Amino acid sequence: MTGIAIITGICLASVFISYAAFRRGASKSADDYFVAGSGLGYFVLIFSLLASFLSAFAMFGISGMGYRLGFGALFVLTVNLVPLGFLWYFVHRKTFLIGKARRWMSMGAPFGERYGVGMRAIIPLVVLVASIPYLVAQIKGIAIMLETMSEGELPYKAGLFFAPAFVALYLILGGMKGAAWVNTVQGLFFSGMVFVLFFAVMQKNGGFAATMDLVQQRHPEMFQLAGGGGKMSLPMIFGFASAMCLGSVCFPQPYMHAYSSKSAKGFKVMILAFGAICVVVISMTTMVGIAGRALGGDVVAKANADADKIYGLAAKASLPDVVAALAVAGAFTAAMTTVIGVVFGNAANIANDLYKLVKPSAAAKELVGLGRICIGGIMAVCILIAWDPATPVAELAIIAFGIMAVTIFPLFGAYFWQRATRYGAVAATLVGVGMNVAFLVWGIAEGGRAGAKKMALLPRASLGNLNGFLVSFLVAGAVFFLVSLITKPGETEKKSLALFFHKSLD
Amino acid sequence: MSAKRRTWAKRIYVTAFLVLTSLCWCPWAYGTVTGRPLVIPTWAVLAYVFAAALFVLEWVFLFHSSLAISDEELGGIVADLEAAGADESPAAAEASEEGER
Repeated sequence: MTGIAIITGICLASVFISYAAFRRGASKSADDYFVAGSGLGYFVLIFSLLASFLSAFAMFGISGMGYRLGFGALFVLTVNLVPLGFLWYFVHRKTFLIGKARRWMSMGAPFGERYGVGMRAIIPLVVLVASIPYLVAQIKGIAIMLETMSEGELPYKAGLFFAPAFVALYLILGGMKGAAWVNTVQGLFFSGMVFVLFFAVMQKNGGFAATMDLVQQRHPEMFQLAGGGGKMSLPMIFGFASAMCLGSVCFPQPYMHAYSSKSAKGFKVMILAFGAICVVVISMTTMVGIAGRALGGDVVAKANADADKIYGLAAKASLPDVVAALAVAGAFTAAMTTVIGVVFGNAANIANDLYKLVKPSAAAKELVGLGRICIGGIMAVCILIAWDPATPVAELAIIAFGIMAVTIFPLFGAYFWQRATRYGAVAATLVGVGMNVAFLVWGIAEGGRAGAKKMALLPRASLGNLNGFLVSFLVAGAVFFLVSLITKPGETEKKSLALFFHKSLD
Repeated sequence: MSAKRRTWAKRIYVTAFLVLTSLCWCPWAYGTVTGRPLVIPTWAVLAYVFAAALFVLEWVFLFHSSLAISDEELGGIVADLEAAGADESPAAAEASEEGER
């Protein structure tokens, strides 16, 4: 129960932090509530963005991949994310600048102003559909973690309420400012715990070099790619790397953090630091997994049965009980902060995009109230879906990145291509989402749950050696450009050019 | 910096970005390099080297190239955009478009 006590302590401290943000008057207007009054400094922005992206997958999943696949796993969430410094700048520079001028507070705002009400309604729905399974996967993961850590004293169904209750409390109390501060504190905590675990695991076998020598003696394939006996081929690596990086551009978190940034320097530091911190922190979790191969028979036997357990097993084998519980609690906070970021982004979308379409004259207080209700509602829906432990949410969560990534084309058109039309934007989004869903169904029909994962992420000869994600992405791009070229821009698109292509943005 | 020089500088940065991104997304040109002089495989070391080079390039572009937005320009740009967007209401645009049909 030490682990449960630590986790509860962290959550209660986070409620206090969120409440402090509320007491400082951070949530009095819609602008304050949804984008922290565009007043976040760069230290909070960096760790808030980092924490809102890095889920339990970055700890358990990545160390599991390191354990199974070796150094090839470095291309899943480390070096491949460094390009985000440029990508986020090019794609979201206008999000930041026009967002400040137009007081944007949601992901649908740029699409709505550029393409009209159709896209403003579609974007929040697409984001919601993509992120619900992703959220449910996090909440299920937290419940399973709590059940394991308490050795069954906190049953799965009771554990389902744990994260949503705290997350709802942080967000309802503190809005974006509360969320950002909670994310920052928890982000610092889990990054610190990864450092502790990494050094402890390496020390267990006499240091980093000695550990790697031992792993190579026993499993030389961990140091190779597919051609040399390893498990990861170049198309497989490219599929993972590009999906994770491009999907990250299109999630609600970069939009919300761009709107919340106080200064240009803060915006630039945030996007530059994200990839670099991921390289350091996630390289360590990957190498904890690789080093797990040298941790002895019992650890290896258990990890061979379920590789995703290597993070907890390595902590238990190399740290005192209390510190091991803290290391696992780090993964718990990573899952919590992802839930915070995604839930808040969706609540902002529903209140500022969907509701404002129905009621354009909605007052700030009404929007803040609706945002709070949406947070509670989304959490309730997630608990309901996760109630049956057999619900295949992990498989559905895989396509979240794929679905989000197809929105990059309408966004590109909004900011960089004057000829882009609403028809192209709508068609590309619907085709991209439809293809991702179709590949998921095809994969399940072909090979059950494992088939869905393979279809989304692994290259297939029948798809030109690409995975389902990349095929959907490329087709959505082709549809966007073709449909835009054969249709004419309407009045909304023409009028939006004065703002989106203003000479001061050159 | 003149407009022409800015354009060329941007092109060079974008080209370098595309090359380094392709190397960070896939060890296509160096995955076959064997050995592990620095404990981890050479191709993994090279991936880190390319990532570090890209990070430095991004840092120079964002903070030392005068091509990226700065806080000195921010107020002016936002004021220009506020003025440009003042008569640009999406709801009004939608309404006028519906009327034309």
